[in-house]
Amino acid sequence: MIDDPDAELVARAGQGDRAAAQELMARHLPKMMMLARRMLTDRGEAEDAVQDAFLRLWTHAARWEPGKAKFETWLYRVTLNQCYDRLRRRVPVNLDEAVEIPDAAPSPEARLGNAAIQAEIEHAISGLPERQRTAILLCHFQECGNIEAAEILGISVEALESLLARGRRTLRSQLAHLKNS
Amino acid sequence: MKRDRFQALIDAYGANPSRWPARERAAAEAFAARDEAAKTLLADAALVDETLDRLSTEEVPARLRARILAGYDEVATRHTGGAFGLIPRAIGRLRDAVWPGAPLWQPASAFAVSLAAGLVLGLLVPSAVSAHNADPSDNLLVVTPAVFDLDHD
Repeated sequence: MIDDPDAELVARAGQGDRAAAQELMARHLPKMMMLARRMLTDRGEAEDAVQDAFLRLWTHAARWEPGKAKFETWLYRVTLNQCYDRLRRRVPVNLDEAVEIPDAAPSPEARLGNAAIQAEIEHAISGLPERQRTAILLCHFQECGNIEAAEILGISVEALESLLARGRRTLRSQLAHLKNS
Repeated sequence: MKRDRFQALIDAYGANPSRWPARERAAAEAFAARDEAAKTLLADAALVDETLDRLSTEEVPARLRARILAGYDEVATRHTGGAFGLIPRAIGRLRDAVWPGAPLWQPASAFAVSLAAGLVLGLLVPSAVSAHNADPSDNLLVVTPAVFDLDHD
């Protein structure tokens, strides 16, 4: 039996307890928003993805079976699926290849200020192949454990570590110049 | 722990031990404490961590929270049938009295409640008038039996 801190709230939300639904939203919305924002880059699309993920939650809350899977794992997977759907509607993607996006990186002259640095980091992350990007977002930003992250991605831990290592290697080479910024 | 595994660990998870696999954390920390080369590897990995950490957290706008909760209210209303939810809500309260804690979509509980449904209908007629003053936020998803469940995967 999985120890799930959200199980009771999900059950109550499925029974019409609006306060429970608000608590679920308070617990998970910030991280879901961060995940979607980093996956999609576009804030409006990220908000839509998160809203649709919660709609799936509300629709299925009454049927949630505690103990079979951790709720947060399921919720992250639903959020990622919403993101993947939107990414596929943009351009055909090969999951193992980097997405070609317009070069929005600031020029050397514009590399000033925190906003520009943030933009560079976001640009580097959004340029990673989809699976590498997801792995890094889950493990570094969402603070998922390796087993949970592998489960969300539907891969082995070994495969997850390979994705993480390749993604971090790319980010190191692209962002090394920010070391002294 | 051997150096190869330590290298692979921080290549994947970075320099922060809190992100290392729980089962290997203690061994990795012990290795890092005794191995001089490990310190260089950790310093390199920490640069990537610190760069990523510079990303600010995402602000969640109030309008998005409102839209999400509106979605919850819409689902709840759909499940209770809006104004027609008066009877299901009453049945729900009767269910709790006859069989506390049982979800209505379980056949046994639905059968037990249906036996009393005839009485409920008779009792509800005068109650429907006062129900119009009921708190509109009093939505009960659980009163929906499986036969009324419109969400099928």
